[in-house]
This record gives sequence, structure tokens and C-alpha cells, in this order.
Amino acid sequence: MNMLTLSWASIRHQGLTMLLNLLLLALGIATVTVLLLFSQQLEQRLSRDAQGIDLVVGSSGSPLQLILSSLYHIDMPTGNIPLGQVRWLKDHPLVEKAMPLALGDSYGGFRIVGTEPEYIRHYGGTLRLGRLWEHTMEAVLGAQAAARTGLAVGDSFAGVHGITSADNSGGHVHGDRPYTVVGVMEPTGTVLDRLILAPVESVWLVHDHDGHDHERDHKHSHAPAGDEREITALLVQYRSPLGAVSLPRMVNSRPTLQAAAPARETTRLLSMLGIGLDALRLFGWLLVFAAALGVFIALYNALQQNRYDYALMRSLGASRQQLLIHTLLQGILLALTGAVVGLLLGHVAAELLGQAFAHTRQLAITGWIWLPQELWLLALAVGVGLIAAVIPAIQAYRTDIATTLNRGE
Amino acid sequence: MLQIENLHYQYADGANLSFPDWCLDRGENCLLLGESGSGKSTLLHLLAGLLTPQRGTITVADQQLNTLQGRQLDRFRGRHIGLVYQRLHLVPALSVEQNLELARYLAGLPQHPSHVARVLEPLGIMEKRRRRPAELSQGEAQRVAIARALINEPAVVLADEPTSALDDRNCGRVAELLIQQCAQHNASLIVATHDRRLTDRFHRQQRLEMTA
Repeated sequence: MNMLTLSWASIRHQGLTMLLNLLLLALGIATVTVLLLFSQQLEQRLSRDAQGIDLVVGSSGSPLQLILSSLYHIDMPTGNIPLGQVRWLKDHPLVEKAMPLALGDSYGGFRIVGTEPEYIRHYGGTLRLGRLWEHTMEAVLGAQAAARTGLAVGDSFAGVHGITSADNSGGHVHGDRPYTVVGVMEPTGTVLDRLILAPVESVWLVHDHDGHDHERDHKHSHAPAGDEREITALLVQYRSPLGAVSLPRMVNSRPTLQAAAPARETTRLLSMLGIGLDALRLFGWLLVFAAALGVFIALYNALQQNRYDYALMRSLGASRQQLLIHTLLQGILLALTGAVVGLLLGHVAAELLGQAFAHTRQLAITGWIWLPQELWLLALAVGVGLIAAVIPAIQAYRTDIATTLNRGE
Repeated sequence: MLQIENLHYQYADGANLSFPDWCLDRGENCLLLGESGSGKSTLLHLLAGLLTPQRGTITVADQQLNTLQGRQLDRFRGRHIGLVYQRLHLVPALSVEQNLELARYLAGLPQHPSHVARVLEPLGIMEKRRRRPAELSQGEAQRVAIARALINEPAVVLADEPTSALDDRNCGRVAELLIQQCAQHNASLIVATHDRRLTDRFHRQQRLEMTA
């Protein structure tokens, strides 16, 4: 027998009431945990994918959409731009890197991105198997794309027109222009993992051939030949901060072009999401608060009903301090158990939610990571339990043995 | 062994009680008789150090109670004074065994299963040690209360109306067990009661009169 077993037995003796409070607390903590895991991973993802890219140049439209589609590969492209109109950027003295992206097709839900080897190097991609492309219609797979599609070096596949459908139904299959897999990359933890990369000429080739006899009304039209080739976007890195001053203006002055700064758009996106996240987080804390109130009421009632037990323990030699600790310990134990259950629940929920939606799956959001902030959550929950137990504990401390014993008889 | 001298107690509402000087040897037992309101319970609470007298001294096991206070008094009570109440004051959340261990824990004494066996076996309730108080009959529960009063080998056992809630058969049995167990553990026994069924079982009787 010690304080811990005594307090634990007291909690268990009040079974249902305590279970209800425990669940309330666990649900609150779980909600907060899920939000913490999601927002942390989202922010980490977004900032890692945008690293080193100062400007995205694409067709005019929503700048946020341009960033989402060309940088994070989660939205539809805004349209295409003629390569000729942006070629000057490549040679501009303020530009360090300019990487073209040609989008339009997918395979097994993974985007086929026509680009240059520079794009792979930018994200630190290294080959696990095979080699980089040397000719058109050769493709290198990101780690996740390879794992999910089951494609291996030497396999060939045909792109499907359209970039969002997860299955191969619905879109037009470019069956006569298959790609050949020549390489598979190591996981990088960036957007690269879920892309199928090919030389930009391949995308042109597929659509040139296609465009003549099929749907002319594709959103992203593919110009016939020569200098009228089109790309979807150009990712630009400045050579000096001066680029930020002049380049966006120069791009935006051209009628069909727009320049979007990832840093600004990402901040805008997070602040828009933030309102929803804040509301949910508030809801989570509301649950925690309700649980704290429940714990307080449960302990308070238990104290009123079991004054006798407290007087009895005093008569058995317990000191006032021991009764104080006994009551506080009940609050702490309850909160700690609720918080641990809540944390586990939150991680399982985050993992399940991460798997449940295509977009969160693309962002590779998982519940199987632990954040240092969770220790704060735990400490906070214990603090809440402690505060809920303070008033009952003081009453326990003040229990008058003789009067309580007399009154009961 | 147990001695009171010149003892006065005043309630918060002003009512006064004074008790005759009195002393009891170790192993002796005594019946404290008197109607309700005559101060039996108050005297027991004074003897247990649960109340503090305005005047006079109480000595239990060579220790003068009014020299102790707070934590020390709580400890002393836990170790040297066993209490048995009319109603069954077992902690409902704990099993019989845990209730007994609680008494040792709160008195700051080491715990060992043999302590529990030593007090439960003579009372014939060893097989109930894993039960909760709610699962015991009244007679069984009162026996557990006696076991708990004895587990710390106290110098004195104070019982407040231990039999008045029991029928004749259980009353006799509980009284007999109390006297016999206290004798075995060499503890003095004081029973406060208005239960006339007990009068012929005790060495000594002390009558408390109503005082104004």
C-alpha cells in the first residue's frame, strides 16, 4: 500500500464518472495532437518544397493556384506559357537557376513532370537504381511513385491525360507513346518522391503527336512545333536579393505571364488554413477544459460523500498533508492517464486521417512521428488535473476528524 | 498505561465536560457506560488525540498526548491506538487486505503479508481478504475493523459502540473477539457503549454522568 495505489483505487472506485472525464480529456488532447501533427508536417512540407525557389513564373491566374500546382503539385495548373516568352529569364544576370516544368499527364495518380536534371539536383535527389534519362521518353521515378505504382527499371508505361485522377480511368491514354523507366530515386522527403520525371521534350512529343487528331480543347494546349513550345511553369532562383525587386515586375508586365512568390503565397495559405485550425484547436481545448471541470466536480463530490473515509484515514495516522497529496494525486493521475490515452489516440487518428485523404496522402502526413511539443501537452494536461484538484485537496486538508466521525453516527 | 488526570473539555458551543481521574493497566479492559450525550464519544476522541482538551493530561503508553502535535500526533495515534467504530469504517475502494495494509502504511510501519495473516486468521476471515467491504456481511466487516485496530499492535484499542448495530448473536461474538484479541495482543481495551448486553463481560466499568 502506498499513496499511488490508494489514489488509483479511489479513482477506480468511482468507475463511470472518472471514465467519462478521462474520455473527455483524452478526446480534447487527441484533437489538439492531431492538429499539432498536421500543421507541423504541413508547414515542414511546404517550407521544404519551397526551399531555394524564389519565384514561380506561369500563366496568369491565381498566384496561389500557380504555387500549389507547380511547386507542391497538388492543384490543377493555371495554363501553359510559350517557352519563347520566358527564355530571357534563363540568361538574366539576376537569375541563378530557372527550371522549366511541363505538366499535363499522370500515371497511377502520380504526375509526369517534364523538366531538366537541374530540378532533381535542386531537391537533392539521388538515384537508387538505374540512371538519369538520356533520351526522350525515358523516365525517372520518385521513391513513393515507384513504390505505389510498382514500376521498376526497364518497365514501360503510358501516361494518362489529366493529372488528378488517382485511378487510370477517365483520361485519355497516350498508349502509342509509352515511357520507359530508366531510374528510381532514393526518398528525399520532398515533393520529388511522388513525381515521375522525364525530359521536357517527352511531354511535348506525347502531345504534339496527340494534339493533331484528338481533343483540341485541352486546357493546356500544346503548340505544334519550333519556338512555340509551351511549358507550364518556370521555377526561378535569384542570384541576389535584388532579383526580388525587379524580376516579378518584369514578368508581370507581360500580358499572359504572372510571377508568384512561394514565400508570400505559402504564408497566405497557412494563414487561411490557420483560421480553421485555430477554431479546431479551440474546440480541443474546450474539451480539455470541460474535462477539467468534470474532474473537479467528481473529486469535489467524492470528497463530500467520502468525508468519512478521510476522517478515518486521519484516525489511522494519516497527516493532513497526506490527505492533500492523496487528493491532488487523484487529479494528476486522472489527467496523466487521459493525456497519455489522448496522445496515443491523436497519433492513431492522425495516421488514419493521413491515409484517408488523397491530398494528405500526397503530403505524406503520418501519425508515427513524435514532436517535442507533445511533452508540453502532457505537462499542460497534468497542470489542468492539478488545478482541478486544488479546491477538493484543500478541503481534504481541512477535514475535522472528530466532528466528521460524530456526524456520521 | 492509560491515565487521565483533571480532564476538561469544552465544546465550541460552550457546553462543558469534565472527566473523573482514571487509569487502566496494559491488558486490562474497561466498559465506558452512559447515555447518549454523556460524553463517551468525546472521551474516546480525547483519548485518541482526535480532540484536544482545554485542561488536564492524557497519558497513553507512557506518552503524554498534549506534548505531541500535528504530524507527530497523527503518527503516534496510528501506531499506538487502535480504533473500532459502530459503523463499518472500511475504505470502500480497497479490499480487506488493502484496508489492513493502509493502516500500516498510514502509521509509517513496514508492510508484509504476514501482518495481514496474523490478524485475519484468528478472526476466521482469512479467505475474505481479497473481498471489498461492500461484499462482506456486517459481522464480517466488524471483524475486519477489529483486525485493523490490532494490526499495528497498539497499546490501547478504543471501541465506540462496536456492537449496537449488531443482533444478539453477533454482538456476543464481536464482544468476545474484541476482548480475546486484545488480551492476545496485550492491548488495553476501552469500549464506550450504552449496549447493556455487554455489561457482564468486562473487568471494569466506568459510568459517565451527564454534566451541565
